[in-house]
Order: sequence, then C-alpha cells, then structure tokens
Amino acid sequence: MMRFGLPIFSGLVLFFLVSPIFVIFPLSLSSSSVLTLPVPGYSLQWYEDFFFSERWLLATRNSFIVGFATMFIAGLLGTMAAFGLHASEFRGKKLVLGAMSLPMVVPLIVTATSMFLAFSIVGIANSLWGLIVAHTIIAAPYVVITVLASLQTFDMNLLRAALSLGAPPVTAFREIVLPMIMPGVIAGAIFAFATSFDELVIAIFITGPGQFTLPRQMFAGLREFMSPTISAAAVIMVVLSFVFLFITEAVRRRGERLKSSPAEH
Amino acid sequence: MNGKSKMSWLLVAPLLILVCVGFIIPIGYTLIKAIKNPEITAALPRTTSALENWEWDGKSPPPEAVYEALIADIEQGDRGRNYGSMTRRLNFEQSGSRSIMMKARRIADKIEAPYAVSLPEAVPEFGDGDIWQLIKQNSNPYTARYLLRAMDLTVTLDGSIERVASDQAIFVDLFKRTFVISIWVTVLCVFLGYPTAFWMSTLSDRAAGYVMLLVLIPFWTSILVRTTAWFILLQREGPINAALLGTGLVDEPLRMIFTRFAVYIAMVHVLLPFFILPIYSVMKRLGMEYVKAAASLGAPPWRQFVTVYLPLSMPGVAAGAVIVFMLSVGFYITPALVGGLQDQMVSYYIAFYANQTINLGMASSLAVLLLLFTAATIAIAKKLLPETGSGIRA
Amino acid sequence: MSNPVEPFVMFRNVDKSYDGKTNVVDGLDLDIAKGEFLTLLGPSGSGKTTTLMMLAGFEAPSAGTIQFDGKPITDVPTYKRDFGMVFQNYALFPHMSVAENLAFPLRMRKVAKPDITAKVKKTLDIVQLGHLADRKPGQLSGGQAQRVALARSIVFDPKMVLMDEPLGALDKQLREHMQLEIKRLHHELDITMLYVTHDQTEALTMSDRIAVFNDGKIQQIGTPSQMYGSPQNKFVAGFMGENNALNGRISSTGEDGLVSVHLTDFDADMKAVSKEPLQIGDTVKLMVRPERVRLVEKADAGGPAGAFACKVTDTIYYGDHVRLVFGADLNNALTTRVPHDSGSRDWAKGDAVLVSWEPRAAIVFQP
Ligand SMILES: Nc1ncnc2c1ncn2[C@@H]1O[C@H](COP(=O)(O)OP(=O)(O)O)[C@@H](O)[C@H]1O
Ligand SMILES: [Mg+2]
Repeated sequence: MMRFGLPIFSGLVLFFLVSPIFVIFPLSLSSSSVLTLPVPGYSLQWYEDFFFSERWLLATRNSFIVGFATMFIAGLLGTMAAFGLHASEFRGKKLVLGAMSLPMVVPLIVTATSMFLAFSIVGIANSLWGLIVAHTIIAAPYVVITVLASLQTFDMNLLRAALSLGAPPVTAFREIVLPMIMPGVIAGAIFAFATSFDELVIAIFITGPGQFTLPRQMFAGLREFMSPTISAAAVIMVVLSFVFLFITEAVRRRGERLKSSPAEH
Repeated sequence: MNGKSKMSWLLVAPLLILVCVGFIIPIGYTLIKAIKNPEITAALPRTTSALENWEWDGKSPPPEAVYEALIADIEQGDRGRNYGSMTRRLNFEQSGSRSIMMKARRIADKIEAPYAVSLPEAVPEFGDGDIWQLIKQNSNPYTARYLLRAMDLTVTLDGSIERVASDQAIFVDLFKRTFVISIWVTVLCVFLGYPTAFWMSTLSDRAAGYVMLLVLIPFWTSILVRTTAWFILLQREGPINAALLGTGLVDEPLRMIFTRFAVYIAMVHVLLPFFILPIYSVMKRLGMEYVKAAASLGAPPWRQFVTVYLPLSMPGVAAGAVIVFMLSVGFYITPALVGGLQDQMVSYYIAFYANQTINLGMASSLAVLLLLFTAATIAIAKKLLPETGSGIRA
Repeated sequence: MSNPVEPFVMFRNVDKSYDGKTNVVDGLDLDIAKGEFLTLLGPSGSGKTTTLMMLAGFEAPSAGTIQFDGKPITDVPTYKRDFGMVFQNYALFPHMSVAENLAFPLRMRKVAKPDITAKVKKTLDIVQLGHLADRKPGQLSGGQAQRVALARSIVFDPKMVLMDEPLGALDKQLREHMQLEIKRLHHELDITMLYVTHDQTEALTMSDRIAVFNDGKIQQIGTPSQMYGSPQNKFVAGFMGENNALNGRISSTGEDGLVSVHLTDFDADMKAVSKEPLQIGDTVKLMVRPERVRLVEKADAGGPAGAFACKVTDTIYYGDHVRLVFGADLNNALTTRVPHDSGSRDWAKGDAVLVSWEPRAAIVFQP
C-alpha cells in the first residue's frame, strides 16, 4: 500500500498546490464575464481591458517603480550591511542582526499599522516614497540573509590579497568580493523585488488611489466588483513570478556549478 | 574601536538607521498609543482639573464649580475635532455617553448659571454623578483600558475590573479563534506536507528538481493571486460548483466562499510551501541511511519509521511548523477575502480599528497582544529547538 | 647585514590585543634589514600571523610603533604599503585567469597595458609557468597555484614580500622543492622577505635570520647556526631541532661557565654549559642534541672521562640511521643517533654502553 499510497498522496498534494494557479489561465481568456469552467469561448477582452485601463496601467507602473527602487535600495543596503556584519566581530553585532531581522518576524499588520501612523506624521504616507521605504525595510533582511550565506563561503584572504596588491577597499570590494558573492546578491535582490511586487498589507494602509500597486488594485477590484479583468491581472502577476523563479533557479544552479568545479588541489 | 569594526559600523549603519527610524520607532510609537489617553484632557482641561478634588460617593453630582468648568470648556474650547474625539472616547467606555455630551454642547449657550441646576434640567444625565465619574476616571494621560478591553475587561465606575457585557465581549473569542485557526492550518500543513516532502526526498536529484518546481511555483506566486484563485474557484457560480453540479454530485451550488472552510483551504494552500521547503531540506540531508540501518537490524517498516526517521526529522517538522504558525497568526488578506465575518482573525480587527473606526488605542492594544503572542511563539520555539530560524528558504 | 645601520623595518615595543585583555603580541622589538630573509618561527598561536598582519596593515597595533624605511607606517593603509603577500591557501582570485591574477596589482598601479602584458609574461617565466597563463586557479595543482601566488606577490616589484606559512598545504617533497625556489627568488630579486612558519627545518634551511616566537614574545633572534648551536633558553633549545631534556640537579659550579649536573634518571654526574646563574642544589633540565651524544661499548675498558654506563632500552630503525633510547621513563629518556651502514655495529636492546658528550655540547636551563 505504501508503494502506491505515498506517490498518489503526494501527487494529490502537489496538484492541490499548483492547480489553482493554472486554473486562472483559461479563466482569464474566457469570453464570458462569469468566471466558470469550462469556458464558453476564448477571447482576449480581459487583457484588452487591463491594457487599456488607466487604473491598471497606473498600478502596473507603480508596482514596477516601487519594486525596482526596493530592489536597488534593499540590495545595496542589505549587501553593505551583510558585508559589514561579516567583516569583523564588533560589539553589539548580535543586537544589530536581531534588529535587522525584526521586520521578518513582526506580523505584517503590526508593521503596516505602525508605518501608517508614523509615515502620516512625517508626511510620506500616500506617496510612492513611503511605500518604497516600507518595502525596503521588510525586504532588506532577506538580502542580508542571502548575502551573508554566500559570504560564508567567501575567503576573506582574497580581500586581504587584493588590498595588499594595491587595490583601494572600494575597488577590492567591487572587483573581488562582489563577483564572488553575486549569486547571493542577485537572489536577495530578486527576492526583494518579488516581496515588494507581492506586498499588499502595507499598501492597503499607506497608499491612496494614486499610488495603488497591482496587488492593491486587485484587492480593490475583488472587494468592489468582481471583474474578470482581475484574472488577467493575476495571470500577469503569475507570469512575473515564473520569471523571478526562473532567474533565481538559474543563478542558484550556476552557483552550485561554480562550487562543484575542480578544487584548488 | 579599531579600524575594522569602524568599517563594519559604517557599512551596517545605513540599513540599521533605516530600520530604526522606519520600523522600530514606529512600532514603539504604536505600542505607546495603546496606553495613551489624551482625548478627555485635551477637550475638557478645566473640567478635569476641577474634578480632581471631587470624590464620588456613588450617586451625588459634583459641586457647581465643576459645572461651570464644563460650560467654560464647551464655550472656550475648540468645539469641533477635540470635542468629537472626546465624545467618541467616552462612548467607547460607556455607550450612550456620546449623545449626552453632544446634548450638553448643543444647549451650553442657552442655559444660565447656576449650571448645577440648569444643566440637569436640560440633560437629566448630568443630575447624578455617573457621567462625571466617567470623565474623571478617563482624565489620566495614560490608560490601561484599551489593553483591558482587548481582553474583554473593563473598569466600572467604582474602579473595579470586570468582564464587559457579553454582546461586546468579542476579543477573547477573537484570540481563541486566531489560535485555533492557526493550529489547524499548521496541523493540516504538517499532515499534507510531511509525506509529500518525504516522498520528494526519496526521488533522484533530477526528478526532485522538477517536482520541486511544483512547490516553488506557488511559493513564488503572490499570496493575493493565490487567494484570488480560491476566491474565484469557490464562488457560487465558480468552477468547483460548476463541476459538482455537472457531475450531479450536488443538486444546488454549495456555499463555500465566505466560510471557515474557504479560510482553511486558502491558508493551507498559501502556507504549505513554507512547510515543505525546510522539512524537505532536512530530509534530504538525513537521506535513507538510517532507515536502511534500522531495516538491516530487522525492524519492520513502520517501526523503522517511528523509531528512527520520525525523531530524526522532528527538528525540521518543528521548524517548519513554527514558521507556518507564526505566519498564520498574522494572516489578514486571505481570511479577509474568502472568509465571513465570523472567520476573521486578529489582524482584521487591527485593520478595522486603524482604518475604519480610527480607534488607534484599540488597534494598538490588539497589535501589542498580537506581538506578545508572536514573541511567545518564538520564545517557546527557541526553547524547544535551539536551531530554529535556519531559513524559510530551502 | 648582521649589524644594520638603519633597519628597513622596525617594530618598537609593539603590543597587540584582540580582546583588550591579553596581549597576543607583547612588547615586540624587531628589526629587519634591507634584503634580508627573516623568518618568524614559533608554535601555532604564538602571534606570528598577528605580527605579519600588523606589518601588512590588516591589524593596527594596540601600542608601540612600526617604522618602514625610516617612517612610521601605522597610518598608511594596506593598499598603499606596497608589500607583496603570499597566503597559505594561496588566495588566488578564482574568477580571474592566472595572467589576470598577475595583472591585477599592475592594473591597480595604472601601468600601461603593453607593459602589463610584458611584465606578467616575464614574471610567469621566472616561476616557469608561462604555459599556464590562461588557466583559472581552480585548474591548477597545489604547487602551481603556490607558484602563481608567489609570482603575483613579486610582479609589481614590491618593497618587501610577506609570506604566512605559504607551503603549509603542500606535501613534503613539493614543500622542499618550493623552499629552494623561494630561496632562489630571494637571491635573484634581492628583495626583503619576512617569512612565517612553524616548521623549524624550513626556518633553518631558508633564513638569514630566525626569530623564535612564543606567547607573543621573541624568545631569541639570530642566524640559523646561532639558534641551533647556542639556544638562549629552554624553549628555543627544545623548539629548534631535536633535543634531549634530562632531569638533573646542580652538584657543583665552576668559573669557566661549566657546571656539574647530577642526572636523576641515570644516576650520573655530567658537565654542561650554564647561561643562567644557578646555585648548587637547583633542579635543572640538561639539554643535549642526539647527534652530540657519544657511545662507547662497555667492553672497551675505561672510555672517555665523564662517561656513564647504561643499557639500551629500545632501538628505532630510520633507514640512514638508528636511534637508541636509554632510560626507563620514556618521557625523560635519552635518545641518540648512530649511523647505519654496512660497517657499523648492530645495537640491540639490553646492550650495555658508556654514554658521554663534550661538556660544551650540553646546556642547562631552569625547568
Ligand atoms: N582575529 C582575531 N581575533 C581574536 N583573536 C585572534 C585573532 N587572530 C588571532 N587571534 C588569537 O591571537 C593569538 C595569536 O594568533 P596568531 O597570530 O594567528 O598566531 P600564529 O600565527 O602564530 O599561529 C591566538 O591565540 C589566536 O587565537
Ligand atoms: Mg598563523
């Protein structure tokens, strides 16, 4: 029984995991405005709706602006911080690491409420900047973690060698350290982008209609009137997730290949 | 400080400052909001200071001076915002207080001294001490009342703490419900995820790579998109009902959306990858050697599993379960979209108080308790398994 | 070289502490002359690497000054110091080819492209690796990688080269070969080298001078023959080469710097050099090198003056020589080497012999 039971059970679980995601593909191509299966006919009308709607286009643009800004800022600050944490043993290091990983464990709703209150006071609520700051804070810990992980396998003597050979610290970092930890940086940056791109709870709290992101616009759509355009938007987001997944996997596999290449002996 | 730690600090500083200013200080500010109580004193400075020396005997109203102070506060204060917040604040403590205070404001211009006589004539509630005692009790700049209320407790006029009326006692149930939903979601994830991860760990590397994609795809797909998928699937006219009707299994569409069932199925769907990924990496590291060793010693399969494999994989199970539990305790979007009002969790009420009724004291108090709840989970997890936190990502 | 007018490198009273409590380098005074090959020798953890790191600029001294060419360098950052460095694990940049690794320091110095190419080629030829210019470090053997690291440390004509146990990861044969190669480079390039190792043979064969480290302090500094022949203290005597350390007590003192020692484990009185003021009755360790111990068969009547009788407790075969062990207690045993060739006598367990040594070959130290 175990011989067939386990694969069948696992197969069903995996089917449960992926099927809902793929179901929205045909639905988004339906010619009917009732979201049901089987679809009566196929059309691209909901995608047309999406690409000709001011609101959806604005939301898409906002999502990309915030996502890229988060990716760059969190990627930069997170990489810097990870390197700082790795480079030396200093007093308070544990505390710093703890403070930086807090945004990962504090429930998002608490983060969102707090940022909403604080950002209103300084006047960056209802602005893309506020959202970028918020997303950078919740995404940066993931960059720190992935970059720290790739620094674990980085030999600090390489940095020393570069310095002794006449490279100023910044050059040494750029030419020696960065290329070696790039897989970690890229993985962290992509995860930062994806985190921002998916984030909804904070967006609900600190954005007005002018700053709606894709998830925020979808959420509004779901609550107000259920239009099939949402399924088109969902498909677009799923396709983007595939892209993130693909890049991350490619980077990871490349990193593994580099690691398993002939050793130094 | 030597040169190297100076460099470390310089590199760490930008992110650390950003996290402090943009996250830690705001959270601290929110926590303080849970005990801040400025509304009454802001709107009624004279009244509250006049009430300072007054002792409530259980029924008698205060002296004329207090009445004069109230009229002065109404006439000289800003009649709009502050007064409004004050009435809402009192009403939160004692429903009905808002209309009493509103009436007082309306007739303040029209009555003459002595107000101790004229005000009760117009608004009889001012004739006894209760409303005054309520104002006096809430004229402290800090209060524990929001936190008490978040545990369904309230302070009576004579200062004792008791349970709120049953129609207002929603929060203990809310926390219980949040706990129960999170536990069930965790149990379901373990039940579904453990065998699946185990099966995956027995596959060849190549096959496991492809099967892993089936876990990674949902992992990378946005929570909202996945919830939306369930939102669509579970509709009355949705694909599942259509299929059930089509096959004749049911005669009329099942009600699935906006039920607890929908909350469970969508939350498990969202959180299952968070369980499978860490437990899979533990199992991959364990390999089958131990089970083989047990088999070579003659143990029957189920015994090999229970006595050898299960204990060895337990740290992974615990780590994954803690992650799932912690994430589900803070869930907001999924229950909000696919659940009914009876299926909402703590987060929903925090959002409700923060965005809809703008009762920040209540929102903050619930946030404090949710934070404590999360901190307790982490603390227990740390105690049980020293190696936790070894990465949500496999 | 032995008496430099103006030392090239000068450590004065240098302390280094990582934790603010214990000094891992303690009151270090060290001069290095221009063109010299100086080795820091000492057990693991004795502070050699730390000393090197301070000179390279990776660590700042907690106290004291370090001067280079007459100027303090404590405030000069590493990348401006112009010292070549070789690390034990080579530290070649894995994402750059051999040629790119060598070009790196030249690029940093903004050397013109054609000059870089020429210089890289010339340096690779010096270490006989011209044919591997396009390989990645991952494709090199240990010995090749070590030579690339060496080449990279000299390609930019550094003011001095620092090496931290550069041969530690190589097997014995390759290590001996590389020792010669480094020695040859030192002569050819006439460059100052500071070399760190815990291997005393390596130190003895390569160095102009050796500084023996222990517990963050220099125990003794001098030429290899000084270090080997007249150690200043028990630590150096024990660390440099093989040495017997026998328990004894001073039985008489003389004016010629010689003392008589009663050897507790052998019940014999032997003469030895004393470098410390010792009183009659003091317990001491008497150090004598195995190859300085002389044996005479008991059968030969008399024997040299000051010989004592004992029995062989063990023989160990080494191919070119045999070691004989005397004394019951293995920890305080006396070992000696006797050549092993066709003409020599075969010793066996239990053989009775007379043991002696030149008084000047033995030294006593306080235990
Ligand atoms: N970065 C460091 N932080 C703290 N202690 C260190 C550090 N580097 C070395 N030490 C300590 O300093 C002492 C000397 O180390 P080191 O200079 O590396 O010795 P050696 O190179 O002679 O083996 C050792 O006890 C070592 O543990
Ligand atoms: Mg060392």
